[in-house]
Amino acid sequence: MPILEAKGVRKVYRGDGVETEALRGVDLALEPGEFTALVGPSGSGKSTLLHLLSGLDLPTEGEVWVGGVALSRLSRSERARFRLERIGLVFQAYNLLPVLTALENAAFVLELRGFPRPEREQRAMEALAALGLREKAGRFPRQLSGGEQQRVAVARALAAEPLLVLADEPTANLDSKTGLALIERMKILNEEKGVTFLFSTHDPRLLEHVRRIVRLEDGRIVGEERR
Amino acid sequence: MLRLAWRNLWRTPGRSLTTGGVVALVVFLSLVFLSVYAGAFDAFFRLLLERTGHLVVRVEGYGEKEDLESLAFAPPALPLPSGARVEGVVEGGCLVLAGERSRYAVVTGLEPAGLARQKNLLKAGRLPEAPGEALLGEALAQALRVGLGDEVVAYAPGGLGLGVYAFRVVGLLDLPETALEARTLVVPLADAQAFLAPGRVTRLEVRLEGLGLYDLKPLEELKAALKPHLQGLVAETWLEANPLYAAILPLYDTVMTLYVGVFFLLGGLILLNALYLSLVERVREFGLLAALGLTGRRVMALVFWESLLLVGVFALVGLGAGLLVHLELADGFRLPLPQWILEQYREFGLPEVLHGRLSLKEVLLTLGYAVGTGLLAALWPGWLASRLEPVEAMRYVP
Repeated sequence: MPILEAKGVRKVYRGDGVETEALRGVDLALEPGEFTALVGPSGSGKSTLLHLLSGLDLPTEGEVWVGGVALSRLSRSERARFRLERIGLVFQAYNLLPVLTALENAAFVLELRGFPRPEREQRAMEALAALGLREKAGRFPRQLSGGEQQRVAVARALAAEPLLVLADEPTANLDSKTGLALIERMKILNEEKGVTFLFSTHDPRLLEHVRRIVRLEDGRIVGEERR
Repeated sequence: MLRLAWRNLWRTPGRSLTTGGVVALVVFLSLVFLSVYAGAFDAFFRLLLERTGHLVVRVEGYGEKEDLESLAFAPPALPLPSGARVEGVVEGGCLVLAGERSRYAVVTGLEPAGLARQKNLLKAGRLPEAPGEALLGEALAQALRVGLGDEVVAYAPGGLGLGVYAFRVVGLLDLPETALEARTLVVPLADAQAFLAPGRVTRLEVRLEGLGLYDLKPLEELKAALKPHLQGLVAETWLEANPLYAAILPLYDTVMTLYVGVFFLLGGLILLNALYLSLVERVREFGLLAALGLTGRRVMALVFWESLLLVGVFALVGLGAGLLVHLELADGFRLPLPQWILEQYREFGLPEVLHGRLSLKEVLLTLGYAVGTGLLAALWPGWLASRLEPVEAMRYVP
């Protein structure tokens, strides 16, 4: 059974009397443990699709199921709670809360979920260690490099042990070496811990590391490649 | 969440300190104002109580009776608690003559303790110490063209007493109202009784020991206990005996609440501005929180916590400073008012040195206002933050 499934997903943005169709009927299914890249040029609808898959936004038509739950049937606050408990999110930038340390950021989702402090700190520290950030757990985001900040965001997503991690261009603001290092770390976690990853990118050098590539153009899936 | 709220406050320390400083100042000023206001209020009512006594006994329907025969009564024996004192007073109209001049006046006969209380009003001379000595209102003395040591004759024929009595002026009284001063003649009770109504009084003043100024319950109980012993007479508490002034008393709470409310309204606007600015600067961050799974209610709670922490911490600073100043005020203070206003104060017999008063009620009122302001000021920014769409908010460029 797919961990994530999208069927006939359309997204139309309306503004100032103009309709923009960002997604034109996307069907996608992700099995547990997949490490998938969503690729396509800017404006192809990658971010929109990830927003819909994570329940940050709702499709104009079609449906998205995560872990068997139809997201459009949930209220706004239920979707928030669902994200908190089931989905790990990593964004392109502005991922971290600047007043919290790396450890506190990594433990933040667990804190919101009500985990006791010792447990959440232990799990956050393990996630940070897995991403090579144990020594920097006490640092604030301003004291970390861009790559380290993104790794903390991934650690936050992983510490909560979600069904899947959705990452919207996590390497976009990183130089190619740092971006590559981040993807390699994510892949190791995928292989060792079986975490399902779906991330968008337009950097072709990263694609060598993924097992499945989904190509998106003009709001449609135009190709798929499995390795 | 609390830790996040606390640290968020210190991202802009200058703004937080300024806003918190305003909160502390508002709490401080409120407490000082309340202490001074209650002190002035107490001084006024204490004066009223001192002049009236805790309970006043008069003939029933005294307000509709005019002649002395109807108003005077033989003082009954009253079962009073230990420490209570009863003072008789006789009051009646008369003509005061001095040489070829005469004026209408009200002669008031007081017991020694009552005469002693006139000391604050004494402009010149001394208090009566022997029979036949009298205090005259200064305006009455001027009208009669008499001074200290001169003799005046009180004349009220046709009554129960002698109807005519000679007094030597030993002191002049300075009263707040000239009209009152122009018809005031104060004499020893025994002289007034001999002159107007032997063995009778027109009122009895009951004074009790150890009662709080606004402690009316024991007075009501005593009044009820005295009732069977007061045939044809009525006992009133000092507030009932002064209905016009008693009407002011409920205003105390209203005025106090309004004044402090205005202080906090101004403080609340500054707080609202700070919270709103903080929201605008952190739209992306609120978007991230919503994206991670914070529900609208929890986003709102974060804004409320930030507001309450800011208000709470600085309200405690203001509370501490306010209580310190209050302790000084409670020891006694002079109102910082122009001399001419203080003159008026003195004429009314109000003390120049007032004593600040703060009860738990005022402290709780102030802190309640602070918390209420914190909540109200956070309501709008909190609601805005809770309605942010995560996708839009994370794209926001300040």
